[in-house]
Amino acid sequence: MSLDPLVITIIEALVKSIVVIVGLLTAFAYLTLVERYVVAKIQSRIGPNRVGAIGPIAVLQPIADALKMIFKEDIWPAQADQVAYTIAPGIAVGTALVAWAVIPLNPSLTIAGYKIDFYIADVNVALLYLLAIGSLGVYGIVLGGWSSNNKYSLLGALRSTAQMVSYEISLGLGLVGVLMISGSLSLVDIVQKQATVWNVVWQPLGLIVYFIAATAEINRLPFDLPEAETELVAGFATEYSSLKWALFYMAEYINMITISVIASTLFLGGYQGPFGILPGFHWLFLKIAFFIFVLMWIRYTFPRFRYDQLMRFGWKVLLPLALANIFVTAIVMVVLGR
Amino acid sequence: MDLIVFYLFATLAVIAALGVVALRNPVHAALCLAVVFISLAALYVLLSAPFVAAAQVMIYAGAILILFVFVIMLLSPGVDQGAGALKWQRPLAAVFGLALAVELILVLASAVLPAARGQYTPERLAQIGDVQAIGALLFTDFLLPFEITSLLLLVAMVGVIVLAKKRVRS
Amino acid sequence: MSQIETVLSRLRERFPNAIADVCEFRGDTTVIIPREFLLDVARFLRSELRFEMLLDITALDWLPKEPRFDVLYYLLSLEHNTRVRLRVPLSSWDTNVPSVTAIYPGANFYEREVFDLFGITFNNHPFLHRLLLPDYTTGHPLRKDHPLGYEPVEFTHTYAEIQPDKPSAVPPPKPRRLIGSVGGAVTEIPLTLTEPATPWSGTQSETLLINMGPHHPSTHGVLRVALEVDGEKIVNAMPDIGYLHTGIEKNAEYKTYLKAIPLFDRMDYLGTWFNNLAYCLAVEKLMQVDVPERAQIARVILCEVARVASHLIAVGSQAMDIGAVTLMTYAFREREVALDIFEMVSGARMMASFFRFGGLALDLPAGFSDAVRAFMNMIPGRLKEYEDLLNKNPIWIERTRGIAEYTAEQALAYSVTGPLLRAAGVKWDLRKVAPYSGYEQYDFHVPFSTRAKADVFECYLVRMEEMRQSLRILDQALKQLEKTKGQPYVTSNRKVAPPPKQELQTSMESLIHHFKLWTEGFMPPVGYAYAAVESPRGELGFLVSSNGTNMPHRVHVRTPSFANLQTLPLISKGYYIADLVGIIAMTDIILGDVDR
Repeated sequence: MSLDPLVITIIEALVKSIVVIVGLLTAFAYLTLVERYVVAKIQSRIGPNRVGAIGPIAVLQPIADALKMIFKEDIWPAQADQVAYTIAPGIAVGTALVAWAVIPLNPSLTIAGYKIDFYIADVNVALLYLLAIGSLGVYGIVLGGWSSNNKYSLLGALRSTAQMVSYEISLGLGLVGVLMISGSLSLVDIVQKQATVWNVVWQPLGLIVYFIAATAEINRLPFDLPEAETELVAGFATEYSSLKWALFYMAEYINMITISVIASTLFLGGYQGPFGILPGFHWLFLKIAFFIFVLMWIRYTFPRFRYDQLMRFGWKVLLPLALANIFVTAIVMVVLGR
Repeated sequence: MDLIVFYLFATLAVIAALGVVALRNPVHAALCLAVVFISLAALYVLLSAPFVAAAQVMIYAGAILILFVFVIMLLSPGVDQGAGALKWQRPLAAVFGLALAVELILVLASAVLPAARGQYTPERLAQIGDVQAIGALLFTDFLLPFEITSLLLLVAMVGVIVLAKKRVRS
Repeated sequence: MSQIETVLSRLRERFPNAIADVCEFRGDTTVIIPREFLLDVARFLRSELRFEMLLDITALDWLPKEPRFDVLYYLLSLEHNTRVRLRVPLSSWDTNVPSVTAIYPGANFYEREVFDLFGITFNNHPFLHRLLLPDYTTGHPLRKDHPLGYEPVEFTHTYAEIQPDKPSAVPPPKPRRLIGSVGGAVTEIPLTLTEPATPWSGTQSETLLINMGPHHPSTHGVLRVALEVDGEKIVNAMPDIGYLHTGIEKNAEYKTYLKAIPLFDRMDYLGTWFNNLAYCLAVEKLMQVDVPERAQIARVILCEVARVASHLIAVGSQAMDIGAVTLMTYAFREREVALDIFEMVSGARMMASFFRFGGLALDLPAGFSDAVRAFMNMIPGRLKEYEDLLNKNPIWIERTRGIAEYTAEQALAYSVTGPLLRAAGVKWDLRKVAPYSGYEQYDFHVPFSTRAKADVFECYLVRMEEMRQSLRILDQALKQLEKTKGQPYVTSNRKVAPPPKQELQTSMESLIHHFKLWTEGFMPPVGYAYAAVESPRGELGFLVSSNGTNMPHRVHVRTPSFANLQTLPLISKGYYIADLVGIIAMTDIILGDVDR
């Protein structure tokens, strides 16, 4: 049996996409559970221990949460902009999912003479693609906030736009150092070039700048100003309920995984493990888990920035740091003649 | 395959572009503009220029348009009712539009399609890489325009700061 | 010559015709002045005699006597540690009195409250509108002739009342007005459902009007703040209260003195013990009851545990409002231990109602000292943990340092008491300056700020230090408690406290006392007495007025939250929305305490 190579490519891409999306949604569901346990531990509480409990772990809790969310009343505010109000959560989740097309999860395997790549597409500007998709994610929040016809939502949307535009620059510049070392924008290339030494050894500042900016980009505390539940009730999501709200929630958690995977890929060698022990995906999983834990740890330790302080920090601290990092990297590279 | 994708995104771009002009709600119009940008980015990908595509989305859709939306939301001019337009604007717009259309048709009809190929053919690009090619060109042949552009942006930035500062003081 | 005599003689000298009478009752001095002289006397008292603070304004209704109303102004001089009460009698046909807001800005809310509940008009008040009750209320409920009984509720399950085609038995409630400001001037904005939520474009100003609360996560209850913001900057913030008004003062007039105790638990629900204590002290003052030593020590211990618990919530919720959620759960974890102690003592975790006139309801249970000791030993380590999390955290410092700055003069002018006043550098604590329940025998410091201006961070520091000082008091009080083991826990005055059970079987007199107390209660002499305690939020005072019957003629509560909340427009102006939640948390208001 011989199929047209084009058809095979399409089928392959479809299968991979479905696997990634299903995987991500499951990961999202259980990430909420993990976060609840991590928070419970930090705050000296117990955490969920009822729904389908196996020992102290409520394994069915995410499913119960999802069911609850589905059956909640879907509230439409009077005078909301119907179109924008509906598509906003979709944009948020869509951009969060689409980013995963270019992320390599495992070294390529050859099974039965057929080479399987553990990424959907090896785009040679993968990193730019990620940044571009990331910059679109803000549309979900902005539209959601604007269309709700609520002043808190509007303030959340306004905060979000200013914050995203500011922090995206630091985010991108934080990664430039890695690109200079790797000489490529393709994530697959970048991972392969870290076989011996991880980039974090050369780019510790880059990692820090990237991670802070990325935390701001996905609205996690201490940068969760667009949501800021103690100030703006729920910011852009004030009027959302039911599944639409769940979609925003989903986008936030998938973005958490995404920035963790980017940090792991660019700075910690992606699926490369130190001694060749354990298959690649396990290493990536461990690294993602580490970053996600750090995100949660930060969230439940720090107070929230104020709007103007956030801006000042972004423009006066983070951006100069990122530029200095590039500058120093360039000089060192020239001096070393690489 | 390429052709299907091209027509898909081309149609989308045209429809969205019409939306930008026709929709009365400024936020909706801005959204349509975002769709136009993304469709154009897809077309760039088809033209073996993924770097340009990514830059297009990142800068136009992700940054500039977001600022547009920011300003629109901040000022919230409401839905444009079509009132307030000057009376002679519409016929004048029709005349100019028609002229532009004629011009476009003439140019397209007389142009050689496809145009002459330069040094970077798709094959060569695949070999040396899209980003590398752009980078090399920017820092060799087009260094002066590149630097002038950055200077221009600096001027704009300084101008904005001066204007904004003045307002704060007064 | 005592301070108060000096004050009186200076007053007589300056205003020979103004002083109609001076009356002394239970150690409180009341100066009766006709209303024509009120402003002059108040101005003189404030500027010349250094009565910096107006503690309270309230009124009494003496129906059917004439002059029917008494408006009471309670003034405090911190410098001389002297208090004087001005009484302005008003006849029922002319209930106008000049407003003292120009002299004491803190009079604003008090005058509005008296206007609302008594219908007394304060001339030249800047914004004389109902404060606690909705605008569409008719009548003034604290007047003695206000009809009691059926009150229309805004929500109903009765079919006849919700049927649209039939004329409704209950008039539909009118929307509450949004009291706010546009362009700086205070106005009323009708709040309708059709009002667009987009920026305030109806006026020429570029400000946005936000209705923060009553259902907002960070207003600490049902407080509503009408916010006018320019971008995110606050141009004006007007607190609108009354959503939790439950008429506790009116209810107390229809209960015997004893039965009113549980009502006051519901006011400041984080410091229920202080409410009980202040009320008991006021009635004890009125009845001239002595309290045995063991009861006094027990009161001090319970109140200090409650103070720590209350400050824990204040600090924890403050941190939560600024975004450090974890601290809130820590604070609640510690408070749980305090609640366990309360439960051990009274059976109730929050609404203890444990204090009685002349002592306690029961003796302290076995194991009480150990439980308090365990609490005492736990807290310092936990406080250290909080400080490790917060004190050097740059975000915390940026969010609290220099936010909501106010000076001591402003605090005094706005009748601010408690940690807020101490954070502004005024060393004023009733436990030191007017000791009650034997506080004079304990060694502790009053923490206060040495900076020129108070801010959120200073308030936080003051509260943290106060908790440590409370622990010191606890340590000393527990030692004292050991010495008084077996001593009576309630007074032997049978007029206010029931005799022990065994006496009933042998003594006829005891049986009569018991019967009288439980059927009728006791009847204090005519007059009023004021007693105040230092609650975690400031001076909590009870004015109990008796007309000689077994039920209070009037109970007025001078709650600290009510006065402290008034400063909100003053201290939040120019800061950001994000700061406002921190500022509200800093004032540590309890809406039950504000609205009563």
